[in-house]
Amino acid sequence: MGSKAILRDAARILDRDQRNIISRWTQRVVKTEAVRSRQDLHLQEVLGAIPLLLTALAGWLRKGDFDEPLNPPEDVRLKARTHAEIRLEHGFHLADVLADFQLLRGEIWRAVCVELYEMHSNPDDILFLGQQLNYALDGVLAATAEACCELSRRKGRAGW
Amino acid sequence: MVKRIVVVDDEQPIAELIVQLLEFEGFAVEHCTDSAQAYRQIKEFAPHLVILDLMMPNLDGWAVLEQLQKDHAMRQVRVIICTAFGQEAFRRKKSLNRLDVPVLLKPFDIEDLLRMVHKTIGSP
Repeated sequence: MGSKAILRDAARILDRDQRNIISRWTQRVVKTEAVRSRQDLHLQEVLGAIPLLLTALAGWLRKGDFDEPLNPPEDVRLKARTHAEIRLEHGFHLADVLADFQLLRGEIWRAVCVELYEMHSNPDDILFLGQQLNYALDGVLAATAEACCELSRRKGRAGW
Repeated sequence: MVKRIVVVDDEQPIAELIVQLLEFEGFAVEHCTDSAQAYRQIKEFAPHLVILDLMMPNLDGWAVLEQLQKDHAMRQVRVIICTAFGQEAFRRKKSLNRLDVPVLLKPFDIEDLLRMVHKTIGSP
């Protein structure tokens, strides 16, 4: 079993490297078909609530409150939902929102893994972090999908 | 006098992202998303540096670079190529005899962008 210290270290890295993670995420997301076809979108619209979500995720990691990693705390769910709402308002689909979070997962892992591999020599710690982060982001994805479906029902949209 | 930079990238959010980062550093920055207008805008703004995306509709980054090379007054302008296609960029800059032009690969880290800009034109 890994230690919760690695979660706090990961939170510190996410806070410190937030600007870079968001920058790299933006460079990747503009290459997706969904965003590429929307030349009218400006940076703030593309970012949506991703910066807020990243801050919330770091806060969750820092607290180490991972007893139910597949059930993210309310502030994380809210930020993910806000991002989904922004995307849907711009005419994107649920699949596009989920792709946003998958790209974010990749950039988060890239940011934390190299440094934490050097700091934590115990493979159990790395495994623990990987599991918790993946569960957390899966929880975000599930909560977002749920929220999108609810929004879809409410607005009477079809095609998802 | 503050150093001036023009960012040429057809992807509006990326152009805005680079502008924000460089303005925060203290540079005066303009961006251009239509490569066909890039040469005119570069001439007007007379920048110290152009950050040039390669894959653009209308006129690709190489064509803009060639326009700059042909203009005697613009030859002093430094250029950083910014692209997701590294191998192609290295091959073309060799064929254009512009091995002096640095290439920044996308997705880039902010630190790498700033380091390359400072190395190319110094501080703001």
